[in-house]
Formats: sequence, structure tokens, C-alpha cells
Amino acid sequence: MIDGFTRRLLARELRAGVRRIGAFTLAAALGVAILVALRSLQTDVEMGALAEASQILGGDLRLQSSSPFPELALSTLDSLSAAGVEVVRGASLASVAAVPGRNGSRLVQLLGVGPGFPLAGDVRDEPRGSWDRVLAGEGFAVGDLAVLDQLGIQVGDTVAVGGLRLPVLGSARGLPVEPGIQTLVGAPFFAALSQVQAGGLLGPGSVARHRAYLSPGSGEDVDALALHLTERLEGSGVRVRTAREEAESLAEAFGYLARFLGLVGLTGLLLGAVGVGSAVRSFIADRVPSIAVLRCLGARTSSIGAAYLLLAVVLGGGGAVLGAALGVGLQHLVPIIPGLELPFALEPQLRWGAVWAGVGIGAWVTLLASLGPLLRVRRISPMAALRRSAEDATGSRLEAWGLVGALLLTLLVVVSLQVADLWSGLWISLGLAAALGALAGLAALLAWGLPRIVSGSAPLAVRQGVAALNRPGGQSRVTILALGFGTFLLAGVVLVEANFRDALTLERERDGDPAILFDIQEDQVARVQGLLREEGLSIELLPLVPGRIQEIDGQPLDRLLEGRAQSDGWAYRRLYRNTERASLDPLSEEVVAGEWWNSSPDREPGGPVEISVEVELAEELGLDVGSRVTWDIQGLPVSSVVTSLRTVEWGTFRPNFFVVFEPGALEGAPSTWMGLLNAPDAEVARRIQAQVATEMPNVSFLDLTTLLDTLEDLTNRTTRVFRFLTAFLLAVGALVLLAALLNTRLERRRETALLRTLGASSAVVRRGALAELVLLGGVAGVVGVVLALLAGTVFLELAFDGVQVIPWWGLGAVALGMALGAALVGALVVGKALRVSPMDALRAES
Amino acid sequence: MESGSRTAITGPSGSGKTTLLGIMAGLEAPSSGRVRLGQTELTSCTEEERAGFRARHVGFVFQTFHLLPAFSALDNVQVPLELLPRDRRPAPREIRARALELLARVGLSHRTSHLPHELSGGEQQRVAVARAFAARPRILFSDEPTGNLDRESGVRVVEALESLNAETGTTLVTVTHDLELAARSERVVRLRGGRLEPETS
Repeated sequence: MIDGFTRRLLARELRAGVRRIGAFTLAAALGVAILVALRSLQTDVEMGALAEASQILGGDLRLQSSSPFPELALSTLDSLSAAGVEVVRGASLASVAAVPGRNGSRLVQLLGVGPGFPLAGDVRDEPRGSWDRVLAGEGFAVGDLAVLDQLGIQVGDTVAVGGLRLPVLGSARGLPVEPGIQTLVGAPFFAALSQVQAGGLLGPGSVARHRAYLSPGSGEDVDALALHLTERLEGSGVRVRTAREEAESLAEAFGYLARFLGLVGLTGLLLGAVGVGSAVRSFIADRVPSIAVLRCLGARTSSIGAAYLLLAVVLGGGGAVLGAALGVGLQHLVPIIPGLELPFALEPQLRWGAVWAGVGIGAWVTLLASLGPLLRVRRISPMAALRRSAEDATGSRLEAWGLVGALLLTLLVVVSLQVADLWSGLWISLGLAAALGALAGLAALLAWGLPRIVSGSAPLAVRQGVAALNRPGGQSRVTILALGFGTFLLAGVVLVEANFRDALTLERERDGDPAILFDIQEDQVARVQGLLREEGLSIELLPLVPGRIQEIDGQPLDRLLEGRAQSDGWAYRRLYRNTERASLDPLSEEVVAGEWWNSSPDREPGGPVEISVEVELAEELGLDVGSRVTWDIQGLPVSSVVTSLRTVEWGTFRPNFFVVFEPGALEGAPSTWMGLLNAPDAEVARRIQAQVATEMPNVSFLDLTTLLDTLEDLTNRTTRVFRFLTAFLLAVGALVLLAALLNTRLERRRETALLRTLGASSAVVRRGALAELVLLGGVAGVVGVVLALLAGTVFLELAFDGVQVIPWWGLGAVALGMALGAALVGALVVGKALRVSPMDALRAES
Repeated sequence: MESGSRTAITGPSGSGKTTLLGIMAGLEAPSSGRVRLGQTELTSCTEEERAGFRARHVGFVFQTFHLLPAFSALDNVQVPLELLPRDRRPAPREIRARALELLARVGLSHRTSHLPHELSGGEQQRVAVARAFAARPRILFSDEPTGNLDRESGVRVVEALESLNAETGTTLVTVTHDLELAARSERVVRLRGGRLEPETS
């Protein structure tokens, strides 16, 4: 099929093809670049994490328990230590940092570590030597100096975390990170474990996680030791984790992020590919007469078809290769992003798997998108050279549906591979196809409707702009689609962010100055209440009693867990922090089944105590009203019966619980206490905070505005990521716009020459071009905003309390920005086409 | 050329017909010599001034029709009226009425909302003729108006051109190879190698 003629035709058409279609393949290449960069980084992270797994964990093995280590674990650690295994103890807990004598506090993560920590990796301390002083118990080290700015102090100043008052000695990097959300919520503060212990922060009822780090020494089998410990400590609540597992879960967490971000790259590729397809269509349409002439001269359909197919392959493949190269460049840029702190060295390497996957997906998607018009080449009759009407050979229905099917299937496969899950892939593909379809539909509706709405009496420039939306071969709809998708995301971010901020602002504007007091010891309860009485306030203090499930309806835990994966039985295994309370919290709880405490006198005395369970947890555990649960509370069994199920609104800042016991049921059990303080104003809150800090330094006082600050900070970070992604898709849209304008350059020159011949001043010509660009961007803007409002409403309805505010100004600015942006970008290309001499109109025909 | 006269310019390819037409219409400035249309010395005008002059006084019909591809037939005929200076521009309703009337005169009442690519070559050229007369130009240049058309369509275009010309008294300058078409003019000018040959009439 590829004969000499095909090769020569390809060679002759290549230049024109690059000129007409090349710019669109660049847009698709941007998508490929993101895909390749992310996939390569994912491998880099996996390799880096595995190579330095011990440093990420702080040792080869870690034992962790949410209650103090039982005797069995302690004796095991002792014997291991005697056998030459390095062992370091540690603990981690959420706490509050405040500066004595000053206002303000921060939620932080307090990490107590024993001498010798970490067992692997190098600590980068600043100033040098400060880490050794921390281990010696002389003060704190912070993971990030930024937290000192937030507290308004410097290295050397004294800070109170939990009950510890110590100076900050410096910063320490290269230490194991706390996984997940904790790092985001609380800045890490390191101190000597002995100090944390002495401060009473690890006592009964504490929320700390107790840890031990182990290193069996070189040559020893870590996995065998892990297995041995897991078997030995089974049922003790102590979990064993190897460095490898930790590294894998870290890589997995990054993998999720990379996959999600990759979806945006995929979307960019799709938009670019749609542009390529449309450019190929208009290119082939222009080639109909010359293809017909070639047919007249005796060229075979197959030779001509092969030449154009090869052209598409070369262009699509070329774009994909270019994109992959760009992606590799991007991958190498990531490690030098300032502020990117990873617990291991990230060494970017050429990852051929990622490169080939990107090139393959890119080339295939662009080829598929241009296959429709390419198939048309086969049906161009030689008669088209003689008669224009002969060229309109329409494709068969079967072929069209086949192509649509292939595209949808490709979308499903590629998206499913991207998110590594078929079901999610199906839903995301459907969502993506629906969004693209809705955008295309809205764009077509506007392009069809506007010329009918804009009457003949509208100014010439406006009619010129409106008419240009339907310019034959102008690819306006593809441009609107590409620009519209970027706008859709941008407007969506604006809408969701506005609603989230609105919720935060509402919390801030609530009357008074709420704060949470926690870590109150049994003997301090009366003093806290007295202190508040002096201010004329009252507080409901609730005990926090840690406990685990022992039996449900007579079935012991092991039986309940039979056949369940480690990750599956969380509700059975977790440590519950239960409380007892006389009444429901009317602001956040509602009983949906059974009755809140039965106080009737005919209750069987000495029977099981009553509990109320949160409804979703009850479902997870298979509990209903009447179910019996036996708890292990500090080693003592406590029988209970479920008498009610409740819904809980977790989104509020009120103290909420999975399980609430009837009043008196937990009396005598070791506990710490907490409560929500509603100070009438900030002044009173400050006075109370100061007094608590002086009298009871171990009690944590967390101003809720602090928590709101933290949430706001988190919102800002998340929005930044989304803004970056949006900017990327807008760049794809801008490229498609530029490509479409470049393609219509000749036509525009012809039109301009004609208008000039008819006597149009250059101002008239400029106004017309401007109107076209503004309309193009404006329609994309409006279409994107409308779709964002629809999708955003659904999202907010599902994830939050529905749409509370619609930021009309913000959304308007987005749409207007698109119109102006399109005009600005377009002017780069269009400006030159407007400077033509009217004589060109006459010459064009000779 | 006398006002209201009909002149044909003929000559072989490359003899300079289009250049002469361009210079006469003020599309291009001559390297030497002067061009005067009515009271206006075109050679001493700037390009913007010449554009304004064309809008007020000059009409065109091209060999390849040159309709604005994104505009309907009606829109195309309206354009010259909308390009008139404000003080001469009719009201929008009047512009539309006149454009509709011109389309009716060239036999296209039923094709007003069609886009150029939806029209046949002959129909496109008749739209172009209607457009050329829309602003009531004092002089109309046509460049091979039937060159791209079959005989029958060509005849209809020439009829439309002549009947509108007779009615408006517009000065008509036609460049053509078609000797039959040239013979319908009062005056035939022959070009050869960029020079005028002695006239016949």
C-alpha cells in the first residue's frame, strides 16, 4: 500500500500538514507532557521511597499502639534489645502550642523520641548540634521554622506544648514524617520522650500513640522479625510495621495524587486531540479538489488514503514524542520546586515505561480523533474535479458509530488505567464525556442561536463576530470546547471555594469566642469549673474513656474478624474514645432509632449499661437497637446494650462521639476530660486561657479560630493545586485558539482585503476581528460558567449543604476574563492578517 | 471616461488589465501619473481616504464572486450600505429593505438567508452584483464577471448587471476576455504588454 507515490505525496503534504495541524498537536502534546511527567515522578517516588525506606520510618521496624505498651510488648522489646537489636521508644500526640503570656495558639503534633532516634537516616539540624540537645531533654526542635513565625517567636524563645515549657532550640529535617492529614493539620514539634513522659502526657486516657523503633542490624531478616513480632503481639493492640510497608504506603499516597492529577493531563490530551481531528477535517476538505484531480490522473484510493493516514500518524506521533520530551523535562524540574520537602531524596531518572505509555496513548488518541475525516478520503470521487456537488460524499452511519464507540472505549480504558480501577474509570469517563458533550452542545446551541437573535440592525462589527462563530472551516466550536473546559474548571473552583469560605466565615461570625479545653485530669475538673464560674460561665465537661470492643452479641472479636482483611475491620479494631452524657447535643445529634436513656424504674438492676451508637458505625458493625456489646475498658469488661442509634453532624466544631454511654456508666474508669467553652468575647477567652496556662499547664486550650485558621490554610493549599491544573487546561485552550486562528489566517486575509476593497476603513476591519475574538472567548466563558454552576450545584449538594452562595462577581469575572483573554491571545495572530492591501482581493483570483 | 458610460477593457493574460483596474479603482497607487474620479484626485489620497472614497462611490464585481463566507446573501448585500459614512448611511430598516429589493431584482428573493457556500456559482455572482449596486456607486468595476460561470448563468448575471446599470446610470468598467460581453459596451479598450492599443467602438 505504501508505494513510491504514497511516499512522495506524504512528503509534499507534510509541510502543509504541519502548518495546518501542527499547532493543534502541540495542545495534545501538553497533555502527554503532564501524563509522562506524573508517571515518571510516580516511579521516582516509589524507587526513592523504597531505597530509603528505613529513613522514612525512622528504623527498620516500628511498633505502635494507641494505648501504653502492654507488659508482653515491653518484655519482648527488652529481650530483643538484649539480643543486640537497636530499640528506641517514642510517642506522638496532637497538642496545642502557645507562647506563655501571649495570645494565640497552634494545633501541633508533639513527637517524643528516645535517645538514638532516628535509627536510620541523617538528621539535618539547624543550628548544628541542636538535635543532640533536644534528645538530651533541653528543648524542642520544630520540623518547619514557619510555625515559629505563626506563633510570633524565634529560635531560643520558650513555648508551651501540652504541659511542657521548653525553649525552641532549632529545626530538624530528614526525620520520619507523620502520615496523611496530621502533617497538614499540625506542625511537628520534637522533644525528648522523657520530657513528654514527665509532663504527664502519656498517662491513662491520653490520646497519644505509643511507639518503638527497631533496627535488627545489618544482615538480619527484617521481614522474619516482623512476622515473629506480629504473631507474638497478636491481640495486644500493638501493630507492627516494616519500613518497606511504610515506604509503599507513602508511594501509594503519592500515586493517588499523581493519578488524579494525571486525569487533568488526559483531559488536556483529549481537548488537543479533538482539535487535531477538526483540523484534519478542514485540511481534507480543502484537499478534495486536488485529491479528485489525482484520482482523475489515475492514482489509487488506497495510495492516496495511505499517504494521508501516514500524515496523521507522523503528526500525532510527532506531537506525542514532543510531549513526552516536555514531560521528562518537567519531571526533572519538580525536585527544584522551593518548599517541596520529601522525607527522602528524589532523583528523577528517565522512566521508559512512562515515556512509552505517554507516547502510545497520545499517538493513539490523536489518530483516533482524525480517523473520521481520513476515512472520507476513500470516498472522494474523481467527479469532484468536474462538479462540486460530487464532493459531498457522506460517511456511512456504521462507520461513524464505530468511531464514536472506539473513542468511548479508548476513553474508558485509558481513564481506568489512569485511576487503576474499572468502576471509578467508568464513572469518571462518563462524567468527562458528559461534560464534553454538554459543552459541545451548549456551544453549538449558542453558535446556532446567536446569529438568529442578533438582528440585521446590530452594528456591522457585532454581526461580523457572530457570523464568524459559524465560519466554514473556522473550528470555532472546537475552540469554544477547549476554552470552555478550562473555564468550566476555573468557575467550578471559584464556586466551590466561595461556598467553603462562606462556611468558614459563618463559623467565625458565630456569637462569642468558642474554644475547646482538653487533657483535663480528673482532679482538675472541679478547678476548671470553678475558674469558669468566677467568670460567670459554665461548661459541660465530658470524660474521655478509651476502650476497645471485646464481644458483640456474645461473639468474641477473633470470630468477628474471621475472614476479614487487615484494612477491613477498622471499626472492630480501633480504640474508641467514649464518653457519657445525660442529654443529646441538640445542635448536632438526632436519634433515628430506639430511645435516648430509658429512665423507667422497672429497669433490671445490675444489667448491661445503655449506649447510643452513631448510625453509620452501627451499620459497619452490624449493630441495631438491642445489640449487646462488651467493651474492654482498661482491662475490665463492661457489658452494654444499644438502646438508640443517632445521626451526628461531624462537620461542626462540637465535641462528637461514635459511642455515648448513659450517665454514670463510666464512673471510676480512668479518663481525661474535655469540654466546649463558649466565651462571650475574645477578652474573656484570653483571660481564661492565661489562667488555665498558669494554674494547669497540662491542660490544652484550643481557640477554635486557630482551627479555622488551619482549615483556611488547608483550603488555600488545595485551591492552589486546583488553580495550577486549571491554568494548565487554560493553556491547552489558548493553544487550540491560536491553532484555529492560524488555520484561518489565509481566509481572514482574503476577507480583510475584500472589506478594504468595498471601502471599509482599517478601524472597521479591526472592530470586526475584535468582536469575533471577544465573542469566541465570551461564549466559551458563558458556556463554561453555566456548566460549572450545574456541576458545582450537584457536587455541593452531595458533599456539603448545597449551594449557599453564588459568587456572581467572581463567575462574571471568569467569563469576562475569557473574552478579554481570547482577544489578547488572538490579537497576536490576527493582527498581522489585518494589514493587507485591498489589491490582494483582485490578485487572489488571477 | 464619461459619467454613465460603459467601457470594456480586453487583452491577453498578463497584459495589465487587472493592474489598470486596480489603479483606476484606487486599490493601488500608480508609480507615476494621476487618477481622477469625479472631483477627487485619487493619487494624492492616503489609503484610508481612498477606502472612504470607495465606500461612497465605487462598486466591484469579481471573477470569483468574493462574498463574505460567514455572511448570508442578505448580509453580504447590506455591507456596502453599512460602510457608508454616518451622515450618508440609511437607517437599519431602510438598509435591509434596499438589500431585499436588490436581491429581488437579481431573482434571489428566495435565497436571502443562505450562506455563500450554499449557493451556486451563478447565484453567488448575482448576490455580488446586488452588493455592487447597494450603495448606489457612481462607478462600478467588474473583473471577468462571467469568467467562472456557464453560459446560461453568465447571461443572467449580465442581464442583472445591465438592467441595474441602466436604471442607476452608473459608469461601468468591465475587464473581460469575452468578446461578446465586450461588444455590449459603448467603448472597447485593448491592452497589450501594458500599453493601450488604438480604440475601436
